[in-house]
Amino acid sequence: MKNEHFKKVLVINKIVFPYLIGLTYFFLLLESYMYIGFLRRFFLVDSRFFLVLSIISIFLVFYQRLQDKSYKEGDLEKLVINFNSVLFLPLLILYIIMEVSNAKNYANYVFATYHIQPQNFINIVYLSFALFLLKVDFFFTKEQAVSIFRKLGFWSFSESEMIRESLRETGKMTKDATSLLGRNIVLAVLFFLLFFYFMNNLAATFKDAFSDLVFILSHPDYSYDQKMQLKWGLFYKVIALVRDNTSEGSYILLPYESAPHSVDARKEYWRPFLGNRKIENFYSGVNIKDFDYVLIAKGYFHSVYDGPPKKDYIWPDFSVSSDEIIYLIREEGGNYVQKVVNEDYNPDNFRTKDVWGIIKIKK
Amino acid sequence: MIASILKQITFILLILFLGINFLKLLRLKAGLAEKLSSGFMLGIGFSTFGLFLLGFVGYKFNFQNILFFLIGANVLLTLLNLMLKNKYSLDIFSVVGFFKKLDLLEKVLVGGIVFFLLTSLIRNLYWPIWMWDAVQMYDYRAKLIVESQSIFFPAQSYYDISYPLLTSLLHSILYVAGSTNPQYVYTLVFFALIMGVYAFVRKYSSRKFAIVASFAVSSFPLVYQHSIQPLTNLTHSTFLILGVFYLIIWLSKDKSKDFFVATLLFSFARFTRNEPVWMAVFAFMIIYLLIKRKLLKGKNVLYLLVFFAINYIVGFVVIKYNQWYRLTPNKFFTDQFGFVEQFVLSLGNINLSWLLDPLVMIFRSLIWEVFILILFIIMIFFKSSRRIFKGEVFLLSCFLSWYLFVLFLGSLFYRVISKDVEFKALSGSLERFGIVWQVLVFVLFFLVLYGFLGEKKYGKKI
Repeated sequence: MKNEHFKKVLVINKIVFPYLIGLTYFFLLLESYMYIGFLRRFFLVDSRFFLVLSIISIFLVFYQRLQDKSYKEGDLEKLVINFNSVLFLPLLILYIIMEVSNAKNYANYVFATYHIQPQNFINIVYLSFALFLLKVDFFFTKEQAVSIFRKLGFWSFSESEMIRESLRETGKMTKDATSLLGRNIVLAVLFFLLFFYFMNNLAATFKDAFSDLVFILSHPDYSYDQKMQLKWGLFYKVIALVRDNTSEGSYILLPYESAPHSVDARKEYWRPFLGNRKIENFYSGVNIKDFDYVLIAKGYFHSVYDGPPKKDYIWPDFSVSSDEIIYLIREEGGNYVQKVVNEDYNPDNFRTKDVWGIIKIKK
Repeated sequence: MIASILKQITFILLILFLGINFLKLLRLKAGLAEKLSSGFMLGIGFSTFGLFLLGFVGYKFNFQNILFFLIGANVLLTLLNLMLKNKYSLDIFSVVGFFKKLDLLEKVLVGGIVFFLLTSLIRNLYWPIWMWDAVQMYDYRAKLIVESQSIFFPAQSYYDISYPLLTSLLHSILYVAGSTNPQYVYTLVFFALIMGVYAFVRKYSSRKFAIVASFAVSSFPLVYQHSIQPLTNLTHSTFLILGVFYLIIWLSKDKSKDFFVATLLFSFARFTRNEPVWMAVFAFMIIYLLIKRKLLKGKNVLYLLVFFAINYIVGFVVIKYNQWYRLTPNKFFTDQFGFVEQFVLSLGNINLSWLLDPLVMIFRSLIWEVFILILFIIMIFFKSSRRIFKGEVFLLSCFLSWYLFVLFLGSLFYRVISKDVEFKALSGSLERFGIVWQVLVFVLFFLVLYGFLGEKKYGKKI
């Protein structure tokens, strides 16, 4: 009986298959253009749900094609599969181009320029790849494919035949046939879980390895500072500014290590880059004249510990008699530019600006 | 440049041979994959812990001394092996034969593993050490050790010495050999883990299955990501995973050699991160032997004592090292079981709704694997009479359930003693435990799948 139900599922799947694939393609394209979760706002599920459904559907069609010797493709099904086999390579190349462009420029370049999100677009490539497997005759003859599956033991055809035989002869399942059916069902569940989890991992790791490899190959000559700036962002720029504009052996004052300076006041982050310069955190009663430099810090690098940033905040919040102030200031385009002024430090001049720098104390 | 590369290769090979020599001394029948995994990890453990102990008596941490130590230890073990008539074989040549035997699918999968290993290596060589914890501590103190030529480097705060030194000493060894970026050693640890999974699954299944399992593990995002992070996570997890493999073999087959390897691997894990995982393993061993009514049979009590003593001694030495600095803030860090006291003191803070927090956190970190494990347990109960109900599969399932239980208890404990913000940071620790969990669940998965598909083949070398 169960076998008949399964046959019904296969028939329904065959009818639904081309429409489901078309719909999934559409949804995946839509979310590549918009964002993951766009669909969820209207249908309560996102496009990846349809992707999983489509892959299950492809798997069932694949099974049906191998199992049924007289299997005949529907017109729409044929159209979808053939159309996809033309699309697969261009889609893959397009995805690679997007990743290369991102690596060559900056992380969000493709989305910022063309409004397409490669991380969502990859799902279209997965779907196309899964569909491409239905062109099994492209790789093997049907007999070869059946033989491979038998060898792998994913589904034993002779055993399935035995179950069917037992049903035909006695009208009910024999003990052996029940046991075999149970084994095959457990096996199918295990295989599906393994496949799903495996593909999920493989895709994520491959994407990670591939995109970084593209970046490395397109930037082989990056310096240590450039690489560190990519990883640490603005904070490393500030560290480099301090390192390049303070003398060896000098004494530098950092803010007190607490919110909003949980990152920039942490001495452990500075010391690997500052050689034999001495660093100290601010404490009450500190004598500024003991130091050679004082850090100018906006703070708020760590949202969890520092809370949301305040616009009218700067450290030091007291005046400092200084020879020179070297600082990075954020301009309207979002870039930081370096400036030098020879004047005393007054916090009111910096409070409302996004500024990081170093004050050279007047001795 | 070439001299520096040659020095680094020499050190790495000497570390590997140290581990292999030890395996040989135990007369453990290990194939090449097992030698490359357990041998390398044991070599790392012996060389770093050995140099650490010598550092206590003022042994300088410089090129000549490290070379002398590594060659000396290797010569000693080789002589012992020759005296005991343990034969050496050049099974490195069997690799060519192994590749020739592979079919198309296996070649593709091996190609995939090589791809992940190569990309991991290229990324490690390209990017400087940039992970926050490595920059500020693990790698930084390696530089200080090299600079001061001593394990008693000028630490500035408790933070500098709060984690055991294994990975820092490993960095130091490579810095001494002239490396400018020792991060690539994590690719070698990644390789050791993949080989370890291959060797263990291969003991019970076909070559194809073992290759598929190794490929699956190499493609885990969590594992792969940690192979390019100069932190303690992958090294710690690899010690634990390999340790569990040997523990399972010991418990199911009563082979003392496997017990010793397991004990050493767990203790080296402790020298990587001083966490009470070994206690969970110790408790598991006691409970298992009690249920099986084997606790008082044979030398099991002695084995348990040895396990406890070795792990305790490693922790004791690490704590003594910390105390030398006089930077230890309170008793919690000077007492191996001090966390119990801290828990008792915090019991007044218990809020029943907090029970949910650890559950949610664990479920988020381990969702797929939890589901798979539940499936396995159901299957094992329903199919208990069939061939999958074999010692190793059952043991591994029990261990994973126990591990999950301990993880829950540990998270609950942490919930009690920590603030909200600190507790959120637990997801990072769970990630580390997630590596161990994922790999072991997947190994179990393959063993069960193979149990369904065919007969088991015991004790087969690659």
